[in-house]
Amino acid sequence: MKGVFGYRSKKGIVLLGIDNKQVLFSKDDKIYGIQTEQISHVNSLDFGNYNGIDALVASTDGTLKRVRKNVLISTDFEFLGSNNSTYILNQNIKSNLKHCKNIEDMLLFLYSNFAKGQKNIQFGFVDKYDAKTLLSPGIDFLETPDEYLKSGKPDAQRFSTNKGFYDVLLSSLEYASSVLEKRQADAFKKTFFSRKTDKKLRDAKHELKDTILRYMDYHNGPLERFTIKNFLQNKKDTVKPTAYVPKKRWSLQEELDNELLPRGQKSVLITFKNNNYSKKVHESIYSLSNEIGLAVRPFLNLPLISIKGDIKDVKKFYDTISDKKYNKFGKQSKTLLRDAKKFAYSHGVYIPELIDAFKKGEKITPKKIAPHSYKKKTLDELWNLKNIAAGKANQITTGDGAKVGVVDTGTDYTHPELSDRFTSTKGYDFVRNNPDPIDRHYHGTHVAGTVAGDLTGVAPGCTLYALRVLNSNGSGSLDDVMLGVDWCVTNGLDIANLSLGSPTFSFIEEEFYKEVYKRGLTVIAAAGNSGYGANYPAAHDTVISVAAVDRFNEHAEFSNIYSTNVISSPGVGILSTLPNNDKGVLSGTSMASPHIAGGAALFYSAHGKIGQDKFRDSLKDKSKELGNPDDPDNRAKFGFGLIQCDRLVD
Amino acid sequence: MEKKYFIYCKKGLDEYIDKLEELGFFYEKKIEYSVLDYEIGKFRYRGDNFNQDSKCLKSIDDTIRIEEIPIVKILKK
Repeated sequence: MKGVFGYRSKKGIVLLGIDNKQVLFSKDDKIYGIQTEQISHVNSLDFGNYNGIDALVASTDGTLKRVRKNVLISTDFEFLGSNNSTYILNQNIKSNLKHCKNIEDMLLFLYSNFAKGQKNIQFGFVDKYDAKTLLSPGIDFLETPDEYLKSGKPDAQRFSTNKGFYDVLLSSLEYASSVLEKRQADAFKKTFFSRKTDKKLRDAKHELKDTILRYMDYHNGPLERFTIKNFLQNKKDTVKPTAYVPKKRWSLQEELDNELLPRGQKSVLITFKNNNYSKKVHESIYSLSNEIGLAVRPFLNLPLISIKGDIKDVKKFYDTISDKKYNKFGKQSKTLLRDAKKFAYSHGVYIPELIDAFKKGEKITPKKIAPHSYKKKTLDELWNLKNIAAGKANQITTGDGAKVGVVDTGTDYTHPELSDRFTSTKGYDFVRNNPDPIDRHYHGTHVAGTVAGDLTGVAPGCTLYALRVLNSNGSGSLDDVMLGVDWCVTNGLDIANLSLGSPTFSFIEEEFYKEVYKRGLTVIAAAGNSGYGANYPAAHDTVISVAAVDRFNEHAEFSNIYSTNVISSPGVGILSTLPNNDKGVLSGTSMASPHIAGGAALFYSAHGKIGQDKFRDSLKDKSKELGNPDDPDNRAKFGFGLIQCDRLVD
Repeated sequence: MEKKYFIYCKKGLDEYIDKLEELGFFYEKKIEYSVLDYEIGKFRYRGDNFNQDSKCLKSIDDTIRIEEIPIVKILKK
């Protein structure tokens, strides 16, 4: 036995290898093998400048060395065919073959196919003289080399499967996954942190900055739960959760004048628009911050600075760099000062961690709010409940007796803030067609938390039911949504919240909601996030359409302006529950709708189930008027205005 | 591209399924909503947008109605 090829995995060295006579692999301490005859000339592949894999060779004396060999992987069983005891490559499946230039490529290819559910992968080594199968599915092969060789049946094992090896292969795929992620991170870093200033790079930097800003809430802190993978792929829809940052950014003076900066201990992120922002400026700012005793943290290679402190500290920093005596930035000082006046503020608590981890290629782990500090923080951060006077209303009722269906991605009914809201009947999963509506996304849990979470909910005394109609990507089919609402009707619920929608009108849906209305179920739905136009089911006459406002009761720019809007509630930077005993901030009309569903629960709890029309009338009479009454779009923006729960339960 | 359609009519659905499958509609399931008093069939159709006024569909029954089933999404910003 001359030696074998392999690579390192978490379980040690996996030996895939071969010499001219033997195919071998290793699992645990044992080495298994198979002898093959030399395969005939393979002339159907052009390897070009291909160098082969970089693999380890383990010799029987225990030493390892690196060698290069070709690897050929196929997702087709017919990778190697047999013709009169001579192996040739099947020409027809050439398109299914992949050359791998190194072991990582091979692993990544395998990983991607396994991730797609493709388990029937056959692979082997090929050079210009021969090809050998290392793995093909279907047959057990558990003999040791010696036993095998003694058995004298090498031909029968040409297509043999090393079943034991399969487990090792699967474990190696975990490694491949991490390689994939690290590669993406490396590639991105290489591009982003390069000092080149071509257009592509500038765009990339702006994109990064925009992405970072998207993760920051205007005043309520950054968002939890996203991974470097999501970040790098820049998939807005899959990052969880995201936050809304208004396009308009206040100038420093406006912030100071309006006292908009948070007063507590915060980390403020300052961005500079100067593309020529250099290391020298960073160093200057860093030394300056030491002089004036501020915890200022510049980021190398990024036009970002974070300051830990409160509004006074920010002002101090601003005044200091504006002061001529500190004018030590050379030619760049003017630009710096100019840009400094265009500060964009937000919490930057996680941004330093993001950047650090980003540089290291690590995953960002969610930063949870410490339990001992949570109640304190929520008092300040649950501005949404204050704005709609939910606390006052809860002194009269918390929604006892009202039944609310959350028709969404399911709900984590085990969440400590929600578990008491559920009875033994949790609801139903219409996606998987079973009675367990656990949330496989996070959206439904957040929505349910706003309806009835212990701390985060408008009506923390109501009974909740989760109807899972959207899949783990947050999308689904209208027929399932209607089935969810139908379940609410047949089970005698009072309210259904639908933080979902589609711009496509459906006659049958319209007819359906008319009938639902007649049966006495109040359906509350989100107005839509595209800024203008109809979004269904909210735009149906028999559904209560909810628009979103921010903490200052200003129209949220994403919230659809449309004539069918009935009412407004907070939908920007809403703190609520997330699966796995977590909490986080999300934005959207999705977040506005459950405030009204909670309000309806309070209303029905206080007055009995007196019908949707009465609820609508109360919304009309008892809401706080918003916007400018002279604005022709005012009604379409806000409906009757901002819900006031205390007045609803009077 | 494959799309999904609601198909419903005043008469029962069962007698039309075969004819609809001949037209290329693949029958998926029957949906019954408690609030509606008629049956709805869920069908898949591969191809471009199906013309709702298609004569061949109308030839089965004048009362038959068809509409594409919209995809619904969460409204998180």
